[in-house]
This record gives sequence, C-alpha cells and structure tokens, in this order.
Amino acid sequence: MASSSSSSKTGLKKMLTLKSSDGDEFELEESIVIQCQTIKHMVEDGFSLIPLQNVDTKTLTKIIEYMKKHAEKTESNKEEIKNFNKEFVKGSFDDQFELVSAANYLHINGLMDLLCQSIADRINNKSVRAVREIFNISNDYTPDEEEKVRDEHKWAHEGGEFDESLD
Amino acid sequence: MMEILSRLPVRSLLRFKCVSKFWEAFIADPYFKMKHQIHAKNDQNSQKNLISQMLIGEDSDFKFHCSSLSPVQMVEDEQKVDCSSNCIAPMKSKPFCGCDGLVLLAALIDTRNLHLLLWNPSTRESIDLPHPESPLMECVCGLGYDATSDDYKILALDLNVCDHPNVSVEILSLKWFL
Repeated sequence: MASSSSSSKTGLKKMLTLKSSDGDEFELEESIVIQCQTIKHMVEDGFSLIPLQNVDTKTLTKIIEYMKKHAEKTESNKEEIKNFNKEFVKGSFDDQFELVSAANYLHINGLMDLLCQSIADRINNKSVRAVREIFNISNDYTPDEEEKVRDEHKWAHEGGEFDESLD
Repeated sequence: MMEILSRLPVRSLLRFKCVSKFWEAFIADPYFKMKHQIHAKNDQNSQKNLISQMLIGEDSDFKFHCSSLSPVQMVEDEQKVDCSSNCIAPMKSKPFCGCDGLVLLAALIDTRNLHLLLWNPSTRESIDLPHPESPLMECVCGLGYDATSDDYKILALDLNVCDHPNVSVEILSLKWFL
C-alpha cells in the first residue's frame, strides 16, 4: 500500500525482477506483476527480486506477455484482448500444460480460466485413445474391464466419430 | 486436472471414464462432482431448458426436449432427451419439478404401475423412489435441496382432501433412502 502511494507521488514506477528456473531475469513494473497473487504476496513481504523455481524461461516469457497485455485492459480494447487470448491458447498441448501449471503456481486466476477452458474445449470431442496420448496416460484397464466401464454409459460413446488427432 | 475436467460436458466425462482407472475414480468422486456442478451453474453455456411435450394421439406420450438457454445457440441446439437408455423406459411420464439438473417425475413403467422417479437427464440415469403412502395419482410432489443437512428432499402432498380431514404431507430424505 505504502509503496504504491509513494510511487504515484514521485511518478516513479516501482520495478521488480522475476528470475526463471533457468536463471534468466526479467525486470517489470510492479503494477503489471501484481496480477499474479503469489508475487503480490511476496511484494507485500518486501521482496523485489523474485525467484520462480518452478517456471522456466520459455513459460515465463509467455506469462509475462499475458500479464503485460492484460495490464493494458480497458473498456475500449476488449476486442483486442479477446483476439490476443485466442492466439495465446494456440500452442501445443505440452506447452499449454506447462502454462497451466505455472498459472496455478503463480495464482493468476484469469489465465488459469483461459487455459483450462481452452484445453477442455480442445479435448471435448477427442477419442479416449487421443486423450490418453495427450495426457500421457497408460491404459491400466484389461480389455474386459474397459468394456464394462464403457457399457455403463454406452450412449456417451455413440453418436458419430470422435477426433483421434493429437493437436 | 480438476480445473480442466470440471469444464467438460457430462457426456465427455462419462466417455473419459474409459481413459484409465484413475480417471474413472476421479470423475466419479463426489468432490469432483460438486466442483463440476458449481462450474456448470455459473456457466451460461451449460444452462439447459428441459421441455416436456405431450403428444395427444394414439399413444398419448410425453417426450422431453432439451435446449440450451445460452443466447448464442438458442433453438438450433435443441435435442431430444432420451431417457430410455440406461434406465427404465417409462411409457408415459409427468414431470413434477426440477432442482439442480435433477427432475422428479411420475412415470408409468408398465401399463398399470405408476412410479416416482428421480431422473438426471445429463447422465441419463434414474432411480426408482419409494411410493408415498397416498396414491401417486392424487399427489403433487416437490423436490428441493436442504443445505442444513446437505440433502435433497422430496415432499408429497395428497390433494385428495375429501377422503382425509387433514392434508397429508410426506417427506422423503434422499440421503436416508440411498
């Protein structure tokens, strides 16, 4: 609280440094970074260099891109943000999973919502086999067991082809 | 994973029970179901309108239609709800009311027996509830959620007051019944 009022008085923007797990440092304005609840709490505790051991440089770069764009959010650029979000979720599933786990760790609620909804929409019509591949899950059912689970909700497996693609 | 799966429609979740034993247990878990329900309640796109249609004809029958309440996909998305698979096929049914996506209905299972059913159109599952002591034909029934006991309760009110000097009210607690 004290820091934000003093910075507005002097006109100086308070800067923070984020350090990725690869050791790269990113300097950002505090007003951008406080979208992230985890960092906000650290700032309140007086930190100005914030080490993020669970986030690598590639993921952190994307997250910073998101936070910068969303810090510009106003009533007039809603459409622009919407298009930005659309582009932002276009990466591979593995990249999206990295981002989800970082967004979860950093507590960026808006980003978490965006990513989870996009992944859910992308897997919604996928086949069971495709979902196993995407989430890297090995099938631990015997054929009989799988058949039994399938039979419990047969209708959910019927009605058209499911998407086998992995993107 | 909870965050991703709780955003999927019920049909996809039931299909993904086949992914692995862990997914099956995860999707069937009451905590996940609660999360999913909270999410669905807040999501405009998953709000549905259930329409019961009575066809008057040779086999005057009830049919259910489901349409989305979302303004973007108003009528186009309308689909017939099929309550025959995976549950008892009622010949005729009369819905009493709904609560949290559950529908309470009186259904004629075979030509003579009127049953009180609790139906979940999303999972297409239904359970046969015990009869109220008063004849079902003469009752109106209601379904509600009681937050103090975290339980759904069904109220049956006998309308045939001529035979009974006092209005008969019966309450069935689902927690107790299941």
